[in-house]
Amino acid sequence: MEIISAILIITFFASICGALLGFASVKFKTEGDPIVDQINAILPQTQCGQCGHPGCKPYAQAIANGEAINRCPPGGEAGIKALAELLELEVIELDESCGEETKLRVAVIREEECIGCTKCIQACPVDAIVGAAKLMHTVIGSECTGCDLCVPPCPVDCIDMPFVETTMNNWRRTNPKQNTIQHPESVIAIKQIS
Amino acid sequence: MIKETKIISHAKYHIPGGIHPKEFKSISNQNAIEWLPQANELIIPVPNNLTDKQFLVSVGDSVVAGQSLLSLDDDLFSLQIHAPCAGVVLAITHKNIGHPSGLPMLSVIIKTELSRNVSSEKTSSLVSPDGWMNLQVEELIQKIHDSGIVGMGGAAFPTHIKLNTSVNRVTTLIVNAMECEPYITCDDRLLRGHSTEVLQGALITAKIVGAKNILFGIEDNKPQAITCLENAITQYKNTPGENHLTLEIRIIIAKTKYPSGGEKQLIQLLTGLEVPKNKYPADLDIIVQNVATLYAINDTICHGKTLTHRLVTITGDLVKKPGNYWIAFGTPLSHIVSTLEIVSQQVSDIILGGPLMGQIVSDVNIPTQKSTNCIIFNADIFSAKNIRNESKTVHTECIRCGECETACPVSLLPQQLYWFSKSEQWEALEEQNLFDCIECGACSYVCPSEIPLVNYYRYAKSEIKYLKVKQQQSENAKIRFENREKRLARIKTEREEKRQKTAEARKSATNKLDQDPDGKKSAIEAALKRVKDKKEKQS
Repeated sequence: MEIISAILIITFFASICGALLGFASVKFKTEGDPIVDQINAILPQTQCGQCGHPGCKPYAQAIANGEAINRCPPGGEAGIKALAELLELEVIELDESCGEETKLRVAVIREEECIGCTKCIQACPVDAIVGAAKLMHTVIGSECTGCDLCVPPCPVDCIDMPFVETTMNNWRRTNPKQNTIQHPESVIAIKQIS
Repeated sequence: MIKETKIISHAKYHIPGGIHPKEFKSISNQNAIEWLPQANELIIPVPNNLTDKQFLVSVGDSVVAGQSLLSLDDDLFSLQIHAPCAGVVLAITHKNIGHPSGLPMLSVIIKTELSRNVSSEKTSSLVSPDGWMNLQVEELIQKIHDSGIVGMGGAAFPTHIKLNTSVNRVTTLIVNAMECEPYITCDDRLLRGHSTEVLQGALITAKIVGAKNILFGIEDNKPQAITCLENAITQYKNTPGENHLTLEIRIIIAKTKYPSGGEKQLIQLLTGLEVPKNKYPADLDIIVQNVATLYAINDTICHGKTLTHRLVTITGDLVKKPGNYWIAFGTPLSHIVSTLEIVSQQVSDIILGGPLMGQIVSDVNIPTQKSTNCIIFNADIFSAKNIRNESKTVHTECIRCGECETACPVSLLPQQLYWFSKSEQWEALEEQNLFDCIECGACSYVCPSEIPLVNYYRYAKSEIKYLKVKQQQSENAKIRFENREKRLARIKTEREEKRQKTAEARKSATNKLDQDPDGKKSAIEAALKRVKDKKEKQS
């Protein structure tokens, strides 16, 4: 008798827990894979494909499946660090076979040479080129990620990739850390207060 | 100590932290105001949000003193610039103007006509002194906008924008006459010589924003200025005209302490209120204006002059005749060096502004600007770089003494900010309220390890801003990429559907053909039906 009641009680609680879990899994279902989204948030969204994947999201998916984190040149050192921190991996050097970390660049079409073939428009992963067939094309500079993908398809080689100029709006201060002693001697400077 | 009267009272509140650096004010505040002889060439930087279309002048054009150089239309956020003296536009080109980035800025270069006397140029159409009383608020603000007035305490924020956001919102106008940084005496001398004009400017501002009180905040190291101001206020109160504004005007004297002249610090000193994070003084019903700005407002509204000159303190141990001079904007430092017989070989660094917050420059071709309230020419030993710990290429490490925390006027933890800046922990820095730092330099000043703390904070602020922009850009790129993917997928499915439809259509067509190869069968059937119908009708 005792055994039966014990079994009944345990079955009863188990079914309640099961029902709760079942309800929770429906009610609080997460869309997509959260770790992939977190990785994707770190990736620079250049969509350049230098990692060998057609865009940042697919590479994020690949990283989640165990691919190396050092295959993103635009993300560079900082990106690898952030990924390593997120995934609790070791920081490794950038895979040189993917490319080098360069300063930010932007595509510029030499408009008088453009023949209006629309090939670059089709290649642009972020729709940053406007134009129509047999009409001049141009790049929306603010939306261009500098991915280089529009350069090879151009039949007349009229796309340049200059570095983004430093202006009053985007200049950065230099790091004062370069000017410090990293490991100080036991010297305490006594400052003369005038 | 100055005796309290009905007009004068002493500040009841205080700010945390602060320092008491040696003032060096007596170097320049002994001499009366003078005009600096006009320079041959003036460099007027153009506000950087403008396109070429907006220039009213081109190279080779003659300009008269006070002429507007830009066409602003109704652009509320733009700033007007003027030709300070008569002359010819020599060029419109990029020039080094001493921006912290070191980047050259688009500037209008004017070759001046030397024959004219500087001081005579500062008059144009005179309006009766009380004429402004009848003007609408919008007209007054428009005049200030056209005159290109900015906050002349150092921040150079366009005054018309500040006024516009404060109209009918504020009850108190606080006039900033603290001038707490060492060396600077231009506000002091301006009040001693022109307190009536400053008061008039304050009255105009009070009318624009609808303020009921005017509080002059001033440090107790300027007794003569306080007396002059008191006299001006008494005189105003004793001569009520028909347009007399009923206002409470008071002078509040604060103990000399740096940085009590910061906008938020001044408000705290005078009213005991703290401006909350991410809020503005207008949220506390307060507007703060510097005395030089008010003088400029008076000049514009009452005398129709545009802002082309300002009072600048020229001081330092290398200046033979230190003092306060009216200087045209755009005057290159080299002109000041030659006119005031400064031995330029001895100048190690020129400071534009005060020694603690000002800008250190070494190029003498840099022009003075609207925000340049002081120029310090010092020999090496008194260089601001020493005060700011920038003179050495290396510094010793933080010993965690906590001096900086007691000096910080915003009650931040400078030490924590330093460690986090150094290790680039941006999120932690934001949690520690890095962006509330006013970069006053009090922490660097007291640091026994001589760490240029402010440089770390500026670097961190710049990096955080950069990263935020970058994050926004990558977010945009992500959205655009995803939208493109969706669009491509949609086009693909649409094509597929279309292809299937045409295939089906073709298939059904061929099926039909299979059953009736030439369409003869159906033709015969139709003919038979027609005959049948006819017969039925006939019968």
